[in-house]
Amino acid sequence: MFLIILISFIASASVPLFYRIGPKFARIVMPAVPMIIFLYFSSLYSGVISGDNIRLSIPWFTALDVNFSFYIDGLGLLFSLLISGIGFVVFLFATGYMKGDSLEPRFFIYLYIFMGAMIGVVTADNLIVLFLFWELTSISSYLLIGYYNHQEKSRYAALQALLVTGTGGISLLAAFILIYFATGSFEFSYIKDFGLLSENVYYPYIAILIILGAFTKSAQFPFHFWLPNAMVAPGPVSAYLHSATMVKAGVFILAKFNHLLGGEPIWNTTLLTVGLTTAVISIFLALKQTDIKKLLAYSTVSALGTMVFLNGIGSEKALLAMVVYLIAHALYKATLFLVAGTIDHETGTRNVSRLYGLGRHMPYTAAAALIASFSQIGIIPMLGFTGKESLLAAILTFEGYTFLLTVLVFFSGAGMVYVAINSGLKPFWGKAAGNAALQVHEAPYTMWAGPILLGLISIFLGIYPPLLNNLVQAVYNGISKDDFGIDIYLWHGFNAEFIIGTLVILAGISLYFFRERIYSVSLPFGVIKYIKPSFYYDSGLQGIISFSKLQTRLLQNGYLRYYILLIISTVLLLAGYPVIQNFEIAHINSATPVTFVEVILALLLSLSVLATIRAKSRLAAVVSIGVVGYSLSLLFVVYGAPDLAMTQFAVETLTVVLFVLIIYRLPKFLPASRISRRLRDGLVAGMAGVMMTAITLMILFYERESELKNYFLDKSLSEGKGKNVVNVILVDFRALDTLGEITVLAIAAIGVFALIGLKSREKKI
Amino acid sequence: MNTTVLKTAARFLIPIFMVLSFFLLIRGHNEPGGGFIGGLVASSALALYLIAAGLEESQKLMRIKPIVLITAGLLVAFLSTVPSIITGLPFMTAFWINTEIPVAGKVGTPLLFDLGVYLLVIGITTKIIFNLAGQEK
Repeated sequence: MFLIILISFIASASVPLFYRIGPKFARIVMPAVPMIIFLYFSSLYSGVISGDNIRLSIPWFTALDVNFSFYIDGLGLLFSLLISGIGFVVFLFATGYMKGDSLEPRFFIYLYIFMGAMIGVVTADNLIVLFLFWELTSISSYLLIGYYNHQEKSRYAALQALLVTGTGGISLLAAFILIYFATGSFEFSYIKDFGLLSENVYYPYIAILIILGAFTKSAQFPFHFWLPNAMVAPGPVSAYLHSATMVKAGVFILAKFNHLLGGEPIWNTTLLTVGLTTAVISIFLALKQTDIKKLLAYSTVSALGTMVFLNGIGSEKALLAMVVYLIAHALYKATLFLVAGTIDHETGTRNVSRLYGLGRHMPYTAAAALIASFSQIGIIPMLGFTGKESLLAAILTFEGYTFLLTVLVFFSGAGMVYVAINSGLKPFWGKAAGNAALQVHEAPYTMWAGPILLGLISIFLGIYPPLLNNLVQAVYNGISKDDFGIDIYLWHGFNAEFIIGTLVILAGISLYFFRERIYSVSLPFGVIKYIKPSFYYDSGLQGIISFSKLQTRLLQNGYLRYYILLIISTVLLLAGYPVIQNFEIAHINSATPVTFVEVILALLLSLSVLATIRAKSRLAAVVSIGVVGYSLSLLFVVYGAPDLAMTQFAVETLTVVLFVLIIYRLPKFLPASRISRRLRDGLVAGMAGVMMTAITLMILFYERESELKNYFLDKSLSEGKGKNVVNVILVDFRALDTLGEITVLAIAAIGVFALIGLKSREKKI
Repeated sequence: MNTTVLKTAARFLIPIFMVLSFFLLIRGHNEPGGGFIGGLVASSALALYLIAAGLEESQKLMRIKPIVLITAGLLVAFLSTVPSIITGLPFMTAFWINTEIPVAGKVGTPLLFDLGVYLLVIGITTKIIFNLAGQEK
């Protein structure tokens, strides 16, 4: 099982190898991997539906309770099947769609990373592992949206998606850490049985943070704007990431945590209102779209909103409806996106008002589109019909605001019908007219076989519900506290749901016939700008960039002297206050006798410092500061620290040598700087000196218990087998630190080499 | 600064410095010394020679390129951790072999580690010094 999760990443790494063997071979291998994963998860089906959930754990950071643990329950299995099954279709499609693209292997590398990450998200048991995979989906989404990286629009959309979903990812991490505080574990299978998270003090924060993470990922209002923009990605990406799987990760998280966090108004009311708002607003925005992919994108956002508010209702019927709706949507929307990709690929346009009569030239694609749009419209016997029926059943049994809810759902449903007709049926209708359409021919089989397959599955699941029923039941048992008692049927009779459903379809059809009217309605865009969340995203981003520019100008101005001034002043500010607070003159024992040698050394030190300040040339300053260093090492000798003395001696020597080597390269030495500057520098230097003196005195005279000191002195010979305690600490007790330090030193040396090398190369040019 | 006096003096001093630096390295565990100090002493010797004899002469004297020393040092330091990894003891657990070598006494992985530090310090210091000196031209 661990291997199955890993296999996508292995495949990702071997994509270049496959292409080295031959593009034809590679295109056969590409869809095989998701197929293998799909077959593996299918084999788990019977076990999981009978309640045999699978768990596997590999220790990682056991001390932090972070382990590579995976857990497959109904919800995880459903998503894994969707990801790998639709993955198969998408990979197959992509081998046709991306064929001949100059960066074809790179595309599959990204897509494999995404699939692996997505499988990881839905099967992870450890929340930290879940978070890691979650972030990986955001990153691979970034790479895939920005696939056409020569277009500025792509780069902008990719960054936008990354920042929005990344923010959500961080809040998810915060939520997981709070859950750890509340339950003492990161393992979901343990947390699941912990019960009653709503009594915990952290509950509201956890709920809000999880909701935030889910809403950004699933493009809920007001974070929905990134999804339509992400439509700049290649067709298969939009189908796979931005309709069928990744954007449903938010719904997945909400469902996963439903029985832990649900039941409180903060959870249910938020999900209900935000989900409904999203469902209605985005379908409203979809009405005016003429770009076929944007049209689908807005309707995807609307469908996600529907799933979120069904989760918010939280009743048995609502959760059931959510799961059925989710499966139905994944099946038909992936197909419609793939069809949109085919149309784009074959005709070169995505403008629906210019597309018609394609059916005669692309019969198979048209068939796939037909099935998918029928499912989205909700025509019997598609799974979409079952989804719509259960959605309406959930609404009608909900107590409170039933009428308002019904009206809003009616509107969004009619919008969905409108989108389905406009994007899935209209392009294939009628006679082909104009020259552009005559050139069109059917896409290769790889690009229509998958979509048709998905359509057939949708019909099959609609007609023969038991297969679905078992799975939905297993999912339901995972996400709800109650037992499941509803069976899914295709046909419920001529009841209220059926009548409303038919009315919705009729409303959608009439919307379609009034489409010219809708296009011509001009919205007051001046006002809309301030309602649009993307406006705040843009101005916020701009603000951050200007602030960091200002900060860089202020702090990193390129003058070494200001860096030093800044560093010392900061230390003074931060360390000065506690020093002043704790310094008591009474502690200082002034009765320590002063020897003759000490006096001489102190005099030598002070004189050489004076000489440094008064130096008329740079060389003189360097030499006199060298004298300061040598006097210090003499001081170490006097106080019996030969190690320190030797080190100081060697370092001083080398410093002087270094100075001598670069002194000719420096600009002319200007001792006569302005009085005000000298005063400022003198003040900072003086204060730093006083502070260091105070700290030294405090270290000397304040008695402090130190276990470490005694430990090292005790154990140096017995455990470290050495009498030189300093050295034993360096190479044995704290050897890991030293190892890190020397590694850093080596890297720094390479850095120095690169910098100096660069400088001299510039000179040559 | 191509003075004959300094050059001759340096030529005599360098072996002494080198022996001293190595002496400091191996006795470091019990008496004042150690890889870091030893490395610095060796580097100062080379720096002295650089000033006396110039860049090319001292590069010839070193024979090995500083970057090789840096990598070798890092490698040796990591090598000293291998026994602890193989035996499964906590990372960087020390291993000692009792020998009767004068000055050093026992030989063990910490000494190997110190040798790595020693090589690395020489490598880095000479790298920086040589680079700066090479720039003057």
